[in-house]
Amino acid sequence: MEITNLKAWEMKDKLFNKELSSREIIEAHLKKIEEKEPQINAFISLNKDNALKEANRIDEKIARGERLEVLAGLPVGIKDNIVTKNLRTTCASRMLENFIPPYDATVIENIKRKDGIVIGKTNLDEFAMGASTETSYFGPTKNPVNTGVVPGGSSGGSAAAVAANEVPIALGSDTGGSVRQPASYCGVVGLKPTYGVVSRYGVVSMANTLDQVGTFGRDVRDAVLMLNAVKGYDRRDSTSSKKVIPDFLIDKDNYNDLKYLKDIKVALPKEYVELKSSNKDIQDLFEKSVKIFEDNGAKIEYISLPHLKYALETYYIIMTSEVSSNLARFDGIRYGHRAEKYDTITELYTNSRTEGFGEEVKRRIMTGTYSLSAGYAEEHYKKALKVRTLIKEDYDRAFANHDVILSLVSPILPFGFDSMIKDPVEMYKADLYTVPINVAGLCSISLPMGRVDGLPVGLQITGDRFMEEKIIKAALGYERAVL
Amino acid sequence: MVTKEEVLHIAEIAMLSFSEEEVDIFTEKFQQVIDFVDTIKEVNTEDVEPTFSINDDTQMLKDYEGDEVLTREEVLQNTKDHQYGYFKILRVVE
Repeated sequence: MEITNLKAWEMKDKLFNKELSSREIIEAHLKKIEEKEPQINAFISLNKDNALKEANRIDEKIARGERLEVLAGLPVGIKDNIVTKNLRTTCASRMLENFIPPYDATVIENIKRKDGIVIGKTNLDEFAMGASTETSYFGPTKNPVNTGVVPGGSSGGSAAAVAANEVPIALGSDTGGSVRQPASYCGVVGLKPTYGVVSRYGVVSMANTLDQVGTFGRDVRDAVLMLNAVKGYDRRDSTSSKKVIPDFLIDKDNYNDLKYLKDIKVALPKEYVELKSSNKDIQDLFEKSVKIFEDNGAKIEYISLPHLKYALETYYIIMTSEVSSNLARFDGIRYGHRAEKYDTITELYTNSRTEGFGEEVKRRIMTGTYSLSAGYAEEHYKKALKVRTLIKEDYDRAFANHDVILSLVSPILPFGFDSMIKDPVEMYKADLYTVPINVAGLCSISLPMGRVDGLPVGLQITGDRFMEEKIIKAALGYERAVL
Repeated sequence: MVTKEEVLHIAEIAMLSFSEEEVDIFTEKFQQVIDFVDTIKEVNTEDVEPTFSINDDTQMLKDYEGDEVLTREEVLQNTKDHQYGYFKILRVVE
């Protein structure tokens, strides 16, 4: 039995039945990481010694017959923009190349409390700004399905690590698609919860009203297991919601249940139908998926989201504005890169930031500063916030009569390295499926629906705020139908 | 039209410095951004309230809890330069 081929929930079953020890699970994954990393580069830092120590602690707990928590003995990959006490957290930036956090993010505390084991920190686009993991200061991550293409991004390291069996489950963050798109490109499941469901305390802010921690697994059940372990109200995050999302427990009784698709009301935005993917095979795959929903009793209806066509502009203004404000904290004084040469305090700030940030990060800070500057704040930023209201209301109307919305995650296949600029129009359209969900704070899941030219293509199931249960059920039903 | 001076001004606010060539690129880029953003101008937002935060039950103040602090050592562990338990920067007063 190759341990790393198992799903997290299968490993857990075997651990509970004493067929496997936690030590064996961790050692098998460390070996896999050692073997795969030269080709994939999914990790920035490893937590080898501590992970083995933790595994021993779990095994001792088992030996003493103590109660085990939901992540018992499972190795977890953590996107490197989530702070981990005494474990380097870089945001894939020169700015934080040597940053050792003095505290754990709430999600890390939760993982530890649930007996999970942090095995390493995964690669990302610098400060989570990008869709290919190419802007990392530590070099790009390769897609395990085909190392000639990108894994997507910005959580490309987490998605690739899960796809390469280096870990069974991982955390990412999703500001405009950064969990769902890499999940789609690497052929794994990526879940972006409703804004406010998972604490952002200790998650380095990119765009604070859009950022949300998301989870990865090789099946729906594992992505949900990971979500159950990290979600919940947190008083240390002022944007954390007190609304309780019930644990969605998937066990033997309902695991094979196809009934989940029966009678659910599925909406298809006609704006997406008109847009279509320029890749006919991707479009065919999506239409086949819709058919599977229909064949299993779902009711399909076309709806209109009239403000969808403004979602990209709205997102772009809000995101860059928040980026410029959030990244103002990097001043070279308290932590982060400090320039060697400066004569004045302004030079200390400016030189440290100029040297510490990469190109894409600087570009976004500049654009955001511009949108927020005197004379433009009203017509850019304020206007975008109002259009955001209209986009949110479009979705409110859609979800008044429907359970889920189906769409593509990305209309294009994982692309080759350095090819981003080739077709700017297609790249621009590429974000249109994921970005509006963050603008409206909805929950959404990306899961594999097949391959085109040997590369994975994902299906996106979106639900209303706090309606995780509906997208999880639909995803489970679909997964059962295609397996 | 966006001018070079405006770009230099934005860079100054953002505390970033750029080469001559980079400034030219930004000047062009900002014009593109404005053109791009202009499309949302056509949306009628009269009587529409802005959405600052998606959920209405958030942005509460929390009570202070005394044990939620870092030690001085922890606070200083990531700075480049410190002295007498403080961050050390430049002398600003002669």
